[in-house]
Amino acid sequence: MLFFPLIFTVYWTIPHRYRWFLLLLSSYYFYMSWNPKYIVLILFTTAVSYTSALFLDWEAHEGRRRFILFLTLAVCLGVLFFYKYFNFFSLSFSSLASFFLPVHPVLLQLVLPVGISFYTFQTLSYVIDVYQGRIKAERHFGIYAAFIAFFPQLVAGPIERTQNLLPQIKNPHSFNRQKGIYGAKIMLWGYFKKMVIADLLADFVDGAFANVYGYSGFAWILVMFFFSLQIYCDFSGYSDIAIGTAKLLDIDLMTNFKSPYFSSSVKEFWSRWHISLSTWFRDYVYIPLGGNRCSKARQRFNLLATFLVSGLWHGANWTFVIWGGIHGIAQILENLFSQPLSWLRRRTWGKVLCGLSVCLFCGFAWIFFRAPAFSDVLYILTHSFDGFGHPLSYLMQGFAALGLYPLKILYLFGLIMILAMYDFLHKDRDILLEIPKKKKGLVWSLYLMLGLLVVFFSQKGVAAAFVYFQF
Amino acid sequence: MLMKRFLMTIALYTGILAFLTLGINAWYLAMDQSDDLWTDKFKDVPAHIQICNFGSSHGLYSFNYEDVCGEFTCFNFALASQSLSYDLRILQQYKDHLKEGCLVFIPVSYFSFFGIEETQEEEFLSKNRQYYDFLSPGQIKEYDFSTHVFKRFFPALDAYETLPTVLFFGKASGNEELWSKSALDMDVSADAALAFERHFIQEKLNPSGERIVNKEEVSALGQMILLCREIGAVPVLVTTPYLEEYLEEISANAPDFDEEFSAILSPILTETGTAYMDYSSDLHFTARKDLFMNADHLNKEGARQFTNLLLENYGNIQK
Repeated sequence: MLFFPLIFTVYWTIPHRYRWFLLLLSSYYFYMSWNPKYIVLILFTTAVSYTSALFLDWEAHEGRRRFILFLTLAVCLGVLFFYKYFNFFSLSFSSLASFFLPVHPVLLQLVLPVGISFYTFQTLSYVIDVYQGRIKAERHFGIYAAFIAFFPQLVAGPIERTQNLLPQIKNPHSFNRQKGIYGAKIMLWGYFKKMVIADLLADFVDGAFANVYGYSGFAWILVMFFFSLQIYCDFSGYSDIAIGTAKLLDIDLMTNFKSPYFSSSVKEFWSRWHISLSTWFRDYVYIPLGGNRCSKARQRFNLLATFLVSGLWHGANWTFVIWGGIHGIAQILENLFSQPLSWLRRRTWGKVLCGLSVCLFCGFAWIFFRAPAFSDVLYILTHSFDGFGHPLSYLMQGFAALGLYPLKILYLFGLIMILAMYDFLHKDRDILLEIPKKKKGLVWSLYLMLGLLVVFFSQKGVAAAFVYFQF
Repeated sequence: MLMKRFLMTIALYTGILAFLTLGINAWYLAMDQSDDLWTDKFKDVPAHIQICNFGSSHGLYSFNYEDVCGEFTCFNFALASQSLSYDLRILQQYKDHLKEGCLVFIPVSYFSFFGIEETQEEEFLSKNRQYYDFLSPGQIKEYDFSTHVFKRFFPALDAYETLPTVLFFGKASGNEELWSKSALDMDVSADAALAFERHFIQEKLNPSGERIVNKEEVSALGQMILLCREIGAVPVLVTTPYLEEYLEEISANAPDFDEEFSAILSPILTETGTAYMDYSSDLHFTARKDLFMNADHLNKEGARQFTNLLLENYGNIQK
């Protein structure tokens, strides 16, 4: 509660030359408040990437530079692999090997360090950028460490690029009132999404997934609809809070979400969903594989490979890999049928149809993302239409199974409508920048209404962690 | 200068928001006349109580003192889903309100001694909230300050989807209406099956299907009896009446249950010399759906008749 107000006050009180130190100290404190011992991992990854970047800057011989790069990637990804993927690969290997001989998997009892995938990717992009000559290596270890561990985005992104964030930590700042107000507004919207919508929907979703075989029929359609919104509000809510927090320190983080469920293609969805990660994969996986500058077949392979890796990034389970693969295949199909699809999108009804299809497709794919095991996915897919023959009772039983009575349904869908309206208006512009141009009384009323929604309808007495912290 | 203006804007916004929150909360308090949890009675617990009872919903709905309240000071301390360990905590808090010689009925239901620890139950946090209305923090299990503040002072922050309807249309108490319902208007067999599931299955069995004995609750009953004796009150254990459909459900699905129940209760009765009055299959009630609100809860009239019968029978025992 007091952490950020304290940092804010001290940050704007002390001279600029000490601010990096404050950011570093507060970021490490923030991380250590979760699990103190894992700070060693951040320090190790930071030290390795810092040192290798200096060597890359200094070394002129291409062979040796490449060796340093691969060594650094191996070390940083090795840490990620050890903590996140070791058990997964060990289990997968032993399952495969058991066809030929009995093998007992070696399993490690490790807690996954919060945010490890996020800060590892940030260090990787830094080292690759230095190797490719896009940026110079940072000389000041403290400033570099503050860039890697910058607390607003440390545990769940946005995954920042060096060119954007590092200079902002280095350069002097003076308080910008407009930016501060904008930051406070975007934080408020983030709190609304997380504490009002995501935490409310989490109750239904978690309940259903804790007892997968206890639900069937329309209840699963509702649960997957709720999960699609929960994960969006949870993750984009966190991003908004991170962006707003940084703005109060006069630091701009990149936009991470831009009304993704108003996309008319899966490709567009990925240009609006977790933008910092999708552009990371585009720049550091897809393009190095050859990107679009190769044969059609190779392009498709590149796309599929990128999305399979992206799936694996999200979690050490084959269900995540399949989730990534489904998105990759959908985009390959979109490319194959690009002509009829673009004809369709030029018409209003066609655009709406495409938008609905994208939402339905994403909802379907989220089943793989959320279900704990493949057997659960199969159950959900084969039982979601149980009782469909009697449409009215199919719908009623679905609502009843989740304990949704008419007033609760009205409440829930009222809140979802507010979200939908904001996202619709926000799709092609920044609505938070547009609102202040209206009359002052109207602006104040809008933000007071939003504040009241957060105060009265945020879920109290629940300590719901952010979903993406686990990645 | 810019910072000062920014801080003033934020302070103004926060101030207006706080003012509106307090206003809406006050409006909510004025419009909400309901007492869904039956906790309003604790606002005015009488002194010198001569007859009282504790218990879960079986105690809450089975005792109706309207015929004797002119003659004696009576009080019903029972609340829905209340465990014996909470009965004990309430007795500890209100023991000074009991007159010497006070008759204390302690209902022991079939589920009273079984199941996982109360704090481990899935519904624990939601059912625990009712105690923030009247128990002191030290008596509340897993006490949480913020829950206390919300529950006692800012109920509007806890109202969620009911907030707009309460603000604009108000909310009256539906307790009397609920208690006056008759089981004649419902499918009692289906209700008995649901009650059996709640009382005998959910969180009552271990993974190998054996009934879990809840030592905390068994011990709480012993402590209640001791505390009653210590303050000069007279404890009497009671099992309230059930409809025959509920009893049939038990004999069909848990035929060995009586034995298990007695194996826990008998040593307590022997050791403490406490009276036990079992009305679970009393013929005055078991077939009388008109005296029940569902398979295992008496309605208001049933409770009146049961309370009178209980007091009469207890008087006969004493003679």
